[in-house]
Amino acid sequence: MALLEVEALGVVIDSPRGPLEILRDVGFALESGRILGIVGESGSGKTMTALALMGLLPPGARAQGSVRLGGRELLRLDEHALCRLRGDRVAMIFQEPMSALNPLQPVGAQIAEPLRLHRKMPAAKAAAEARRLLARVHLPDPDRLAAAFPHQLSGGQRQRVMIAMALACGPDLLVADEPTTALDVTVQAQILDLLVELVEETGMSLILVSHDLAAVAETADEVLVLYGGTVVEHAPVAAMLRHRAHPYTQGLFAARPATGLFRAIPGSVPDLAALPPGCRFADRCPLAIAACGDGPPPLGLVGPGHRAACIRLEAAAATAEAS
Amino acid sequence: MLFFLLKRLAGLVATLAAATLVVFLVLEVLPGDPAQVMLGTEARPEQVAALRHELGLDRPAPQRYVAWIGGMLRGDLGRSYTYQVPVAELVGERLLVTVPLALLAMALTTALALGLGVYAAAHQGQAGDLGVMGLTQLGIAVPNFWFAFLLILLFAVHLGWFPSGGFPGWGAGIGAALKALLLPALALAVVQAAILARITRSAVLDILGEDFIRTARAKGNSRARALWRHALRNALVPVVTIMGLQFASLLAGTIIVENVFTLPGLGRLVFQAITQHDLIVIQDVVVLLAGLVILINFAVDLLYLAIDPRLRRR
Ligand SMILES: Nc1ncnc2c1ncn2[C@@H]1O[C@H](COP(=O)(O)OP(=O)(O)OP(=O)(O)O)[C@@H](O)[C@H]1O
Ligand code: SF4
Ligand SMILES: [Mg+2]
Repeated sequence: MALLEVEALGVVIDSPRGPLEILRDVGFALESGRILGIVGESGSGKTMTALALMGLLPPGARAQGSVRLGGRELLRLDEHALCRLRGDRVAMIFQEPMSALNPLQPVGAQIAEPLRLHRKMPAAKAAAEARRLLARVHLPDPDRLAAAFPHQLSGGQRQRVMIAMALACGPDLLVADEPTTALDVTVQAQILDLLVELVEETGMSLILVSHDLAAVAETADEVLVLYGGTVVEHAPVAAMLRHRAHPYTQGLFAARPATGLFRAIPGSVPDLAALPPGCRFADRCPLAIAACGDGPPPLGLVGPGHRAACIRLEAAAATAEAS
Repeated sequence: MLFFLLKRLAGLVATLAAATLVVFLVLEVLPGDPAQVMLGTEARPEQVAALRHELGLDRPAPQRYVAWIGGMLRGDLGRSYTYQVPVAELVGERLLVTVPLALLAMALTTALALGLGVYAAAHQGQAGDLGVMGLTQLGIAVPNFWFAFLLILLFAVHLGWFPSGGFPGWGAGIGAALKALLLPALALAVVQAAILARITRSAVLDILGEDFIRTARAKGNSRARALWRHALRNALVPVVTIMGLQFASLLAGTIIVENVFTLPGLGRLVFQAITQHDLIVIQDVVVLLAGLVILINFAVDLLYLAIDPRLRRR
């Protein structure tokens, strides 16, 4: 049994324009000690997927389907049980290290908080443990740093503090939502290295949400590609580097060298209030045919552990061959 | 940090000096001879001349200003013309009524506002929130003198729990004195508490939307714990700013409320001094009130430092 099993995960959110289906039928499994990269354009639902796993969806949003951690169904847990899980078995780090830390608390106290909450550790012991965690994320002079306030640290240092905080209780799963996007390029690589090192050391699983395909290719074991709130392709990294099966993923990789981002695919992400009944990529897809609008394309097997949601996989394979 | 404090302290002294100068100049340029104003129109010229001499009005203005400031620094505020006692004595007694009254009103304001504001923010959009918002709307709309009459009617006249006015003095025991101050303090506090509750609510709601609250929740804090442990202190900066401003309003409000409740405080003294043209008393009390407000602003600066480490840098 995999550590994390997500099946048919959907998220619907109430909006002034009516209910919006932000995620539909997202499914994947993640073994202990493995790293899953989630990629996709802005607005594709990466953050919503991460928040749904944490049970921290914004007000007005409902999750359906199934999320099992170590066999335990998270979507049916009450708030009290979720609070005991968050920061203990599952932890999360965010994109903006500037604003993700409490500006009025010394960072040592913030790192110690999960230990006080979940382990009921006495203050002095939790503070000592916080200093040990600071050393573990390779921050120099932990004794001095523990007493520092967030504004006294650099962006990279703050993200290390966030990681130390997430690590405090030794979680089974760490969800990192674009942990390096806000950082300098050189610092980005260091943070990713640190995450990989910690996964190897602790055996926890990591979900790495990212804009950066190269970063994911280097760090992750497998990749999940989201488009318009649906999974379009899911593959081991090595297989994905050899062959992109879905026209969207192909576009994504082709677009990368030019800008480093995904914008170069013509068109824009679908409007969630006016989703097509069929393939959500149809209006931007160079291979689209009438049948693509009939219904959601099922995820078909392309190779071992490699799936893609497209009804024209052969045609897509042929164009990939040609280019 | 020490530099910051010294800078603020220097600013405090400068503001106070400016306040004395403004008060002095205003009375200086005001049309009419102060001695004439104090004695009224029927006074005989030799009476006026005698008073002018007594008040030192026959000396040049800069000399009088220096004498006035010098006297204040020595604790000599001059003599009240109408009461014929040293102003320092007059003011000293009344400070012991007005300052406790304002502090009590501020304490009531803070307790009511923080309680209601945080409660409303925690229950945003629910019945409790709507109730608090409605109540505060009412509190802001009702003038405090009208509320004072209402309190007197209900708690003093009808129920007889509190005196309807007057002050027994601190010699009568702390309990009796506080009892006499409670209704007036409440009358003063209602409007300010209503305003502050709204500000507290929106400040807390702002902070609850911040990223670090989401971090707190991801660590396993319940919604309520995240509010108390992480949101509240961050929300205090705007709240404390408004509290500083409100203290000035409260002091101004004592003029009306002390008259309604016949409390022998500074507000009532100012009121009487104005009706009796006792310029010396007016001058001194206005400077004193300004000094209190400036002192409170200094306290607010210190509170900022205590709340927010980012301000402690310089
Ligand atoms: N509170 C909300 N109400 C309505 N729609 C929302 C809300 N929050 C997010 N959405 C929509 O949900 C979709 C998915 O958002 P999400 O934040 O998961 O995207 P993302 O892939 O993380 O993008 P980014 O790369 O910009 O972070 C977007 O279209 C967004 O507009
Ligand atoms: S299903 Fe059709 S529209 Fe969608 S990706 Fe495949 S070919 Fe393109
Ligand atoms: Mg996002």
